[in-house]
Amino acid sequence: MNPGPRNPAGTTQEESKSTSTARRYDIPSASIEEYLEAIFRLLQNKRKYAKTGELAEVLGVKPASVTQMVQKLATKNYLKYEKSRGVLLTRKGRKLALDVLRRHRIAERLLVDLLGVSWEEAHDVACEWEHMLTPELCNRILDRLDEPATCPHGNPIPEANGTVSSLPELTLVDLVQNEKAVIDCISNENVDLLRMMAAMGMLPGEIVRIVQISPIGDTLLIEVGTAHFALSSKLAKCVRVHREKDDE
Amino acid sequence: MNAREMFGVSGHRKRKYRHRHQVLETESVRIALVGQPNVGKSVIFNQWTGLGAIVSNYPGTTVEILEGTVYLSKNDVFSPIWLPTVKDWESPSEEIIKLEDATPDSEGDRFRRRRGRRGFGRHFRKWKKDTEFEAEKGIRLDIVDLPGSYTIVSPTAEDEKVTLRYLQQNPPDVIINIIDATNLPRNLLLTLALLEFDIPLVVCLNQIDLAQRMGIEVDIGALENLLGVPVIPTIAIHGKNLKLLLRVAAKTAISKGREQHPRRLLFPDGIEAKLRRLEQKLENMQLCPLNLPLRIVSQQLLEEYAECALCIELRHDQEEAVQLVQKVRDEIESEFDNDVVLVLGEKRLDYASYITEQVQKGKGERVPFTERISTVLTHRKFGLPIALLILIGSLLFIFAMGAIFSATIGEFWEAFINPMAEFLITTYVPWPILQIILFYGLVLGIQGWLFIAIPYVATFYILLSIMEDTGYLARIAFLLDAFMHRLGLHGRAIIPMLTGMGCNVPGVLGNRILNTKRERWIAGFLVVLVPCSAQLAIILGTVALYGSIIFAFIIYGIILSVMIGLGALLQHTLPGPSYGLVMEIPPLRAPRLTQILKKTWIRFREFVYIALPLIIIGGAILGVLLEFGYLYFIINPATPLVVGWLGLPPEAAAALIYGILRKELTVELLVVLAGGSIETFMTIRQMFVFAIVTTIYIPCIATIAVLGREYGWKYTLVLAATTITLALLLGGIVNWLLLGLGLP
Repeated sequence: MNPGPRNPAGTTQEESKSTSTARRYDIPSASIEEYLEAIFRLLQNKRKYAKTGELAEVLGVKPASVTQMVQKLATKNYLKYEKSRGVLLTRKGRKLALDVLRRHRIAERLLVDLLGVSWEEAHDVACEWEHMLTPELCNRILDRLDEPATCPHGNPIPEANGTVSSLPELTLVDLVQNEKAVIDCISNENVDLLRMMAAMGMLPGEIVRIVQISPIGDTLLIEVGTAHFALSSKLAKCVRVHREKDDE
Repeated sequence: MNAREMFGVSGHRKRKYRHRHQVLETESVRIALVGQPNVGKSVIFNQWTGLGAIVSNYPGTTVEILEGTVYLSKNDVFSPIWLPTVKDWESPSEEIIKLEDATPDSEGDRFRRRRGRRGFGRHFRKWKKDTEFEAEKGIRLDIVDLPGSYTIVSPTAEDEKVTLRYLQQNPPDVIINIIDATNLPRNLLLTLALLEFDIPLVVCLNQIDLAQRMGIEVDIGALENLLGVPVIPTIAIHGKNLKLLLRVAAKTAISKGREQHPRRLLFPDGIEAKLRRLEQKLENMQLCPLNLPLRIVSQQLLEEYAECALCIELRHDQEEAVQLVQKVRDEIESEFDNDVVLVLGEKRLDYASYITEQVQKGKGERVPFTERISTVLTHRKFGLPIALLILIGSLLFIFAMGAIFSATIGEFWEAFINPMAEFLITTYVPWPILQIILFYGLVLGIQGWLFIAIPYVATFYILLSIMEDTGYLARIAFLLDAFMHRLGLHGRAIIPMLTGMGCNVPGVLGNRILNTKRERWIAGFLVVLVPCSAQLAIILGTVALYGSIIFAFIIYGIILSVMIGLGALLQHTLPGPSYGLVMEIPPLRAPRLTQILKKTWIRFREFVYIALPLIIIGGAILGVLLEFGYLYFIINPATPLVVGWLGLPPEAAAALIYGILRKELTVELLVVLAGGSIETFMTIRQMFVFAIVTTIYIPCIATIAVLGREYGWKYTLVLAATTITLALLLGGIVNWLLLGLGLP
């Protein structure tokens, strides 16, 4: 099927395995999941965009094949790819990546707690096992292990609905001055307001910078693109974001 | 034409115009200006039409639409009233070159820019040649300035809806879409929507000088190719290329846009197919609304645009289509796991960003210098004190202007014009009743109007226009947003409040910018309570003059607390949700004199047209009542209230009634009644009470008229009753409090 993608400890044999799992579980295939997980991990401790070069390094494949795969994923709307800046996950991609991460961490739990595998080994094995776990299986394992909240390494296991418990949902009001964040979603029952903000260019995926916070009542002055907007705290609370950390 | 005479166009030029009119009016073209807020749309409109703009309300709404006419011949643009300062770049502008040389850059960069510039010139020459068609005939261009709109697919604000409705109901011959070169992606969102319409389009890329300063270079040719319509770069505030823009627009309109091949956005990821399905359905059911492309309609339906031309029809008998809309919306929302509004918006912005990437060099940073000033002005610690200083400074400046004005022209008027007018009237007008009407209405009325209008109102508007043009007003809205929330409003409402400090009339009109009815209701009450310049004159002329300036501040404090209390009360009692502020904060700009004067005039004009006639009529009526002693029929029943409760002298009732007409006349009347100094007639306590009552008790007749027009008479009646009650209550309490404190 698709060329190139290999697991970190990859061999051609595994590649064929992953394609077969892909067939068994239908779309998304294991390699897609591998990619999304890798991108998610890169983004989690870095910034908005993951460079394809870094991705190739993490996955242990050639940059050219990464580019090819990434473009394919972009057409399936899992991520956005801009040549100059790199890759960023869409909401759909983020959701799937979190799901993979959940399975990975559950697999690690299973390996360490029940089978006595060491932490270091557990990660590599879990990388393969994660693709075989169905939601039912996950729940059973969790049941058996008394609902652990974290993986053996201490990272939280994402919930089945795609939220991570210990990472609370950030909104614009939680940011401090000059902090940057990426808009995830605007949750407001008022469709008028949603349309207004969309028309003004406040849309998911856009980077927001807090320019100023007003002296009384936390009205925000934010920067989106080159435009500045004043946003009441009431509305800022509806804008869910995730942090973007600059390299500097 | 009246206006032409008014502005003193010389006979020579008049003749020239007459000649032009005859030659020119062979063809007429209607142009609509559409653009997002803060892109320089009205600057362009003003440059073309000058003072000749006609303001009218769009039928059924309170949204204003500006209309003007210019004439185009071979080499020139004419405005019948004001010669616009439009000029073209004969060659690529020297200023641009200067700007480029000023920016320190690497050698390679400079080379690229120089090439870009040459390309620019070629582009310009191409258009110049293409539009040399009107050699023999002239064209009449009717230009409509539609309200600034972020979107016209599914608009939210009242004025955006008007823009959409205008395009739908009176499709112009050509649309000029003005976009801001400093913020291409967002501006292109609107352009993409306009491309969907079957109206020829010309894109005006404005503020390219600012873009250049921000490090943005736009490849005009590439943008033209990607959009499929002409793109004309302009610098509106200098009038650069505006003539060319008109010519291109006229040409496009006359050829009905046949040479245009607008490139439309195709939504990616299967959304396009779904939209098509919806379009097809609508077409099959023959649900084609007037002049609105089905593609726009289907997007509106998906985005739940309630006023979409079809919604109502759909809800009743087109069950099938409703279901399809719901199905498509669900499909999109579940696939992209987000609200359909955001999904469509994201895709549009993606495309706009793609175009931007193709045509734009440089990322664009806000100019560091102005940004630094902006940081100070909106600073968490310094922002409010600076705002306070600026406001107090402006008020002091207005007082100074008022003092200078009355010391010079005022003295002259009193000494010469008034006696002369009185002499003329008594000599040549036979009947005494007509004499009184003429004297009170025309002479005293115009005098009083002049003395408030020029020094106080006009000065205030100039200051307000400066604040607005520099972008400071938007920053005040940001600073005070949270405070306004306590009154059930938000930051945007600070603008009509500040306007109300000049005169309540434009303040009430300014409430139109508020989105919901509830906000407008609350703001109506509060604006009326804001002391206007005339009420300020009362406060300063009585209690501050004879007592101490501290009293003036105390009165301001009292009124502010009344406003806060009333706002909080209304917020809790009036039904309806309260929204927050979403408002663009434009970059700080240096104000330009001509723009400010034009803007001031457009505002001031309301004061001339609405206030002046009312004052003349009201003055005449009151004069008759006063001269024939009818006024005492009104005063006498009011005496117990005025004397007993408020502790004022009985004649104050007459002054208060006169004040309904025009607030500052109460002082003048008091002076007349007292026969000189008010001090001999009233104590400090009485002046204090009097000042409070006059500032609150009822809006003046001009404000009442505007309130009735804007809000309906029921609202006005409620408001008048409330304010009178409030004034009497407060006046009485203050009176008894001061008496208790032992003030005489």
